[in-house]
Order: sequence, then structure tokens, then C-alpha cells
Amino acid sequence: MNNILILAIEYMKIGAVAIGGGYTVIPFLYYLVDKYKWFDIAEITQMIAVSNLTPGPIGINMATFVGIKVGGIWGAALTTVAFMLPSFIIICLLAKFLKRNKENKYINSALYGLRPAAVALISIAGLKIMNTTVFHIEKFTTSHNIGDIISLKASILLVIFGIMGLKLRKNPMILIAIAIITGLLVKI
Amino acid sequence: MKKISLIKLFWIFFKIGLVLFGGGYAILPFLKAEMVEKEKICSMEEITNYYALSQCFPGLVAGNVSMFTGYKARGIAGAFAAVFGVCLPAFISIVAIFAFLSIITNYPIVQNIFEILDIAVCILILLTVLELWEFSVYDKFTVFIFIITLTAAILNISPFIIVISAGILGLLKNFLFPKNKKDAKEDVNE
Repeated sequence: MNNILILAIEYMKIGAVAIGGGYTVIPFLYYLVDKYKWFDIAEITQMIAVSNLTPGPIGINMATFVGIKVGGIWGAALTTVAFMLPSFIIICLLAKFLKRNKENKYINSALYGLRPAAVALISIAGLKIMNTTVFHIEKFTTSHNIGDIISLKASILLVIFGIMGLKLRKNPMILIAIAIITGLLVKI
Repeated sequence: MKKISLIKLFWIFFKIGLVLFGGGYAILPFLKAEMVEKEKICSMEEITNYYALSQCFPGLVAGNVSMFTGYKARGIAGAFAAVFGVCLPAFISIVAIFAFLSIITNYPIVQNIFEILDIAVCILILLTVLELWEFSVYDKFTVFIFIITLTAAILNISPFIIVISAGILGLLKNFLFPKNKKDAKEDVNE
């Protein structure tokens, strides 16, 4: 089976279970990296950054990005459609269902367990990026130089961006703009 | 509720898709302006319900909210018009910059920018966690699920398995200890 079809099927599975918005897709991308080696972790972080810079839902940006990487523009179109299909079916059924029953204990109790799992998965996505930018565990295991474990400049930026991010919660775009300007001025 | 054409519905959501930056979490103010105040398709209360539910079902928050709102306006065709509209700008912009991107990313300054952007993205993800935390992890059971799923994720267990087992655990918990089921109900009503 060719790569585009495999990717579309994998992405349809992601679309069927990824709960809580675009960032939830990231752990699944790491899983794709492990399984197929179509791209690497550095490319995923680049993908996330680009997705933050471009308009539209991040999950669509990333699906298009992954699709184009693996199978060109048709790969991108197929991946995006495959990604949206499960939620389209689910939401249409749910919207119909909600019209009739306002509350359903089965759905609510499943959601009760799903939400903390989604939060855990998103946390892992953030920690993985921190592990490649601020901490360099891999570099340390080869060099055994304590100074390699943590990047001082990156950790200072992490704290500064963290404080700014808290203040700019409504406008994440501004934090991205600040990061680009910092990137032009500061060598990391 | 007045009738709205599918093309108009698509166009409204296309415009919203164009101004959505940094993920779909910012969709609410635009929906309020277009669908509640201008077109009077649904109430703000309904939009808020859609938003809460969208966070808990598979798919993108912005995509799901758009589908719910589109469905309210014109049924399944409306849901399709809305989600197609909101996703199209994201698709076009990535396709447009992709070729360009592989050329520019070879410059050291661009790589430096991406490295610093990673730190900002990391912060954005962690802030999203904070936002989701308050209505996701709030009692003993949800803390328990959070800890075991976090551990499972660190151990590289497939996210599919993690999400599905967490849903099953939620169902089991409410069948074994039904007295706490109001927790889940209150939540969706928020």
C-alpha cells in the first residue's frame, strides 16, 4: 500500500480519537515518527511553529503539512479530509442526538475519564519540546558534561516567555511575534 | 431563526478561518459577532455549549464548534459548509508556503528563529494545559486518570490505547460509583 493511503488511514484514526484541539494531535505525530520515519522530531516542532504562524485551526495546518511532506498536494488534501471525516460524522450524529436528549449519562461519564487523559497527552507534547530545546539529555549522555544538560539561554527565554504567555493568553499570536523578533536578535 | 444560504455560511466561516491564529481556541468571539449578533442563527449560550462539548469529542475544537453551528443553521449540509470554510484558509496557507519554507529553513538565522519559536510553542502548549486543567482534572478520580495516562504516555504507550482506556475507565467508574455522576453532568452544563 502506498504511503499516502497509509497516512490517510493513520490520520483518520487520529481524527477519531484526538480530543481537545490541535495540540492533542502532536503526541500522535510522535507516534507516526516512531512507526514510519517519514519525518523527524525536529520537523514536528518546525511544523508546530509554522502552524502557529499561519491562519486556521492548528490541526488542519499540521495535517496539510504532514500530507504534503509525504504525498504532495494530493496527499495533503487526502490527509486533511481523512482527518476531519470522523469528527464530522461524530459531531453530526451528536448534534442530531442533542436535539433530542439534552443529557446522556453514558457520554458524560466517558468524557469524565477522557478529559484528564487528553490533558496528560498535551502535557507530554509540551514536555517533549522542552526536552529538545531547554534540556539536552541526549547530548549529556554522550559528552557527560554537566553543562550540556540544560541550556541557560533557552531556560531564561522559557521563563520570560512563560510570564509573557500568561499575560497574552488571549493573543498567542503576539507571543509568536515576540519569539520571531527575539530569534532575529539573540543567538541561541 | 432565519434561513441562511450554504454559500453565505461557507463564506462566513472562511472569513473566520482567515483570522484564526495560533489555533482554534480564539473562535468564540468571531462566532459571537457573526452567528449570534449578525445572523442570529443561535444564542451565545448554545455556542458556549458547543464549545464545551467540542473540547470533549474527537476532532479540532474550532472544527467541531463550526460543525455544531453549521448543523444548527442548515443540518448536515450546513455543518459541511461551515467546516470546509473554516479549514480552507489553513490548508491553502500551508500549501502556499511549503515550497518556500524548505528553501528558507536552510539559513542559520531562520534555524535560530525556529529554535526560539519552539520555546514559545512549548509555553503555548503548557498554557493550554493550564486552561484545560480546571474543567478536566478536579477530583480524586480525574487526578488518578491524569497520573496513570501521563505515566503511560512517558512509557510510550500508543495514545489511541490511552484515550480509549481512559474513556472506558470513566464509564466504569460511573457505573460502579454512580453517586458521583453529577460531577460529569455539571461539567457539560457549564
